[in-house]
Amino acid sequence: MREVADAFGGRTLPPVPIRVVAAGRRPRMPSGAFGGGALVCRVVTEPVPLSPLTRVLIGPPGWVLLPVVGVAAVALLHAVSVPGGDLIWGFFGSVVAFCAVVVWAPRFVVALLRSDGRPGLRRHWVRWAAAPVMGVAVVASAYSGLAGDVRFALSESGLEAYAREVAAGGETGWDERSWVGLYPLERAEPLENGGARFVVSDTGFLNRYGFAWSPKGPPEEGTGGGYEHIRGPWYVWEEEW
Amino acid sequence: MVTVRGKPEFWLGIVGASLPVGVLLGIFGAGVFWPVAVLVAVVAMTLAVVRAYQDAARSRPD
Repeated sequence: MREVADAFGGRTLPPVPIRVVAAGRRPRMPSGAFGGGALVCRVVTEPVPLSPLTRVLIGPPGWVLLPVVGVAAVALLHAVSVPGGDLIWGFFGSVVAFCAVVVWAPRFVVALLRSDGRPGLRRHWVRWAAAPVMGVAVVASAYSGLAGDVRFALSESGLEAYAREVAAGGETGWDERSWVGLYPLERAEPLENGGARFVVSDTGFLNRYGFAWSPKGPPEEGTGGGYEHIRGPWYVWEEEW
Repeated sequence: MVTVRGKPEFWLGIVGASLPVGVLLGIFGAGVFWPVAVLVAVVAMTLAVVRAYQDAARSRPD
């Protein structure tokens, strides 16, 4: 290796490890000759192991970014699928999603513009596509109301059983948070016409939102808020502040 | 191709400093300042990634 360094005549060696794969001998010199002939050798550079940070930055979205995007998606889906919206989870999901975009987009654009980045995009296209697909799905389900419809449909039987119990004068409560179906409820009370209504936790800003179950027609307006029909005996209840 | 000076760690530090500032300024409605902070974060993130690609290209065998 020292001879190889000498062969570079004191110039700076490449900043990577090198390996001599074939070396010849110095040509025989006439007796008494001064100086040396060319050193015959072939030098190849060794690949340097990349730092973990470099590997992350040039690699596809991995075990940190994708779960972060997933958490943001779940938070936003929860926020938009409760009546009136959940401001806290909506805010949290929006901030996390925004930060994820700031991290994801430059990595994608640079990989797309560089010839040594495009093969990685093709090879790991599923991981690259996962985050934008999740984003589009969340936005589409929020704007179409699909998230709220699916959540309500999955919870309807549980909500109805709970509403019947409340209407019959059974379990009611103030500031008791409990999950019924996929909704966190915190207050339930019977309606005068035989139905029941309950508040979904952490909904709205000043007004609170929940559901009303009223099998004998629409609940009376002005008794603690307004109602908007969903389907069948179900209404969204807006409790005015 | 422009050679990016500064290690990826440096540029990610800029991202880590400017992005929260941008988010906080956005929350408190600080006019034109929050887009500037976010833009700084995006540019710094881009430079970190470009530098990482350059490091990776330099480490490849000839």
